[in-house]
Amino acid sequence: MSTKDLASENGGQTHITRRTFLRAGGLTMFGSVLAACGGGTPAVPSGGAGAAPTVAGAPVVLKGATVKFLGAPWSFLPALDGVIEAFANDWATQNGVTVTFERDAQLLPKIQTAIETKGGANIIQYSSPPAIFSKALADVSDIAESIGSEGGGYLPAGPYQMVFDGKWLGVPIGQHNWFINYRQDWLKEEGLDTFPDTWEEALAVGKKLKAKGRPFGMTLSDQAGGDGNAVPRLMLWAFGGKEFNPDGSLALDSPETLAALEFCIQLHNEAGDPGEVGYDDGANNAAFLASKISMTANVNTIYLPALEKNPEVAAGMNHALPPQGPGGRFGYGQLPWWGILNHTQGADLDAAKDLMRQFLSIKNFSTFYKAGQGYILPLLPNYESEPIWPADPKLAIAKDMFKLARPAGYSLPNQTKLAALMQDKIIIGKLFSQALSTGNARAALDGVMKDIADLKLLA
Amino acid sequence: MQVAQLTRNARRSLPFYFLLGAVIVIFLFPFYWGLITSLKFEVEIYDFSGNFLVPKNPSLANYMTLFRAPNYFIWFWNTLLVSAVTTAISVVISVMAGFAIARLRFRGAALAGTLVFITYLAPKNFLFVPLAQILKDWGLLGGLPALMLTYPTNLIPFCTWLLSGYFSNVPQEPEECAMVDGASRLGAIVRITLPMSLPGIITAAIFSFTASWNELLYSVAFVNGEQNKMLTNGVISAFTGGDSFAWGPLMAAATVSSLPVALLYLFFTDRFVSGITAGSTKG
Repeated sequence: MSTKDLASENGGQTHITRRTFLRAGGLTMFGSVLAACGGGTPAVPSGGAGAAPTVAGAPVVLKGATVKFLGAPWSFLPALDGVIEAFANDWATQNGVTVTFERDAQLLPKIQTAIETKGGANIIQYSSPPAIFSKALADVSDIAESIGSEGGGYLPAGPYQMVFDGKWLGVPIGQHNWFINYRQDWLKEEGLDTFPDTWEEALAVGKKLKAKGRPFGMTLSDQAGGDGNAVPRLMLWAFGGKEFNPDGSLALDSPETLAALEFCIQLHNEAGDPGEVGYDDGANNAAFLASKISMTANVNTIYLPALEKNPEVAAGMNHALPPQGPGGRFGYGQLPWWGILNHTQGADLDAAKDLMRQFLSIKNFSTFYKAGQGYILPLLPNYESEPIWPADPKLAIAKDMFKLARPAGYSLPNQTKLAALMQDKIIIGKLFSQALSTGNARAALDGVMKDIADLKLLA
Repeated sequence: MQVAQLTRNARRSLPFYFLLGAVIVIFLFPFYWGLITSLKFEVEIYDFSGNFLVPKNPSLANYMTLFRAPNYFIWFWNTLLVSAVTTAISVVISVMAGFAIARLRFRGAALAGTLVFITYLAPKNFLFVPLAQILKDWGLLGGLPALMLTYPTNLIPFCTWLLSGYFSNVPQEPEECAMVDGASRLGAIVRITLPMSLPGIITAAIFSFTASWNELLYSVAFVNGEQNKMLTNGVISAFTGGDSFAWGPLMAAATVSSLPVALLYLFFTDRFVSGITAGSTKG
């Protein structure tokens, strides 16, 4: 067998030997290394799918500036990326500014790299509280205040999450809000047209559904950064519980919290999926799409994919406001925001601010909300009369939902380090998960209060 | 008599094969689960009725979705290229360092070996920020060369440690004979020692390639642009969004991505086994 041949012939068949395998690979690689070392391909702005909102003229001084945008892709609804990029590209063309977009699902290391190397990004889009980057973010109070004033003043969740040391570190672009996703077809079999308006009524019908193998599936768990922070708080607030008093003192250890826990233990035992105490962010979606549960609290990330890929589930389901409890009815808002890294200076800073100010104004940003179909809701009351609300009647509750939002850490006026740590460690999710797992509300609360005492040392 | 002996042997071996079977099932089940998920439609992925371990209507639709992702083949090629270059750099340097530590009896060789290995234990989470700063200063941040330079920082320490152990077990006499016959030290190494150490070198190469292929943190932090993404990062960004996971295409990507590594193992299994077991027996 000749070692010079790339393939050795044997009985009419071609065999690839180790040597030929390596040689063929090596030749190809060598050429590519040369190409790769010639310089990385720069990020190329891609044209957006959505129609570009109107761009107003901007000062001439922006010409020549560069704005680098860094955020996670809206993979669930790529049209949202399209709206942003269409506007920004149009704005950039009109103002002689270069705009680039960098999108990555694993955002945190990228933001850290941009901060430490003072490059790679000017505007960042993120969802966790901006306070964690407080030393790296520019003051954008002027933009937030003008946008807020145009929209009728931010709902409390806005300044709560964005203001740190008296400055707006980011401008919220809206809120993800959790509403009840339920199987209307199954409820009709129990004699109900819509989901009950109170938790007591929900428990009653939940018992019947569970008896038929159709339990509720709420993410009362500490394994989910989104749902695990949202759903337990919906229950806590519905029964009058809260984490903090307005003066910053802890308010979690209260009869109201215990009442919420006791109710949820009953709801879990008599109407819930046993696995809900360990759900991660995708587990309730998967269980609902598999028709294993009859109700969960979620954004529209179950319904929209189901319309396309699981039409039976989409046809049978509907959405409702979270039921009210003795403490009232509340939503939970998780706020994506845009901020400017403070290494952005001069014309680049002016350009970044101008882009944000123009895009986030009501006349331009409405397109973004409309494309979201309820996935992301406004934080400004004046949007109520704008034509941004989902046309699909099954998502119509979005309009009623957006004003109900409370932030994590309620009722602090602004988020504290301790409140941020409790959110980061999913402490309220842990409280509910442990109470439901053990059936002992008091012990779970005592355990979590010890955790909070430990977190205070870090705060 | 022979039948009775065979039966006795079979009974004696039964627990071993049972255990072996259980281990195989445990190790292979995740791959099987990924494969069948990649062959199911979205509705079927969430349907656990009946025999859900076999796709009811197997389809390649998820693979089509994957291959239609705008930059999938670019990500695949980037990953192959970076892994191959990284492996080459790591192995060449590790061979030299491992040989020096094992064979050149300089003062502090043992300490040097230990220190090299300790650097492998430094968490990447601590290192990526200073590395990013260095890359920026060198003008390399953002492109694939950034990965080709930084992956070896993590691979060389382990490969050096692995190869120094291997070189210690390769007989020194043939190399000395070659030098007596007139070969230079380098010539003796290249013509005698390296061919004898091939299993160890292949083991180091497979380790380097696999680790580079699966790496995520540096590929997120150090490269920019869709065209420069690696498979791990690109696929996650393309097929996950918040709490919504496109499991079908994700599992199709996992299945396809495991092929190059599986091929490597297939070609070099015997060498790999002898490499990792070097020095484990006497004689």
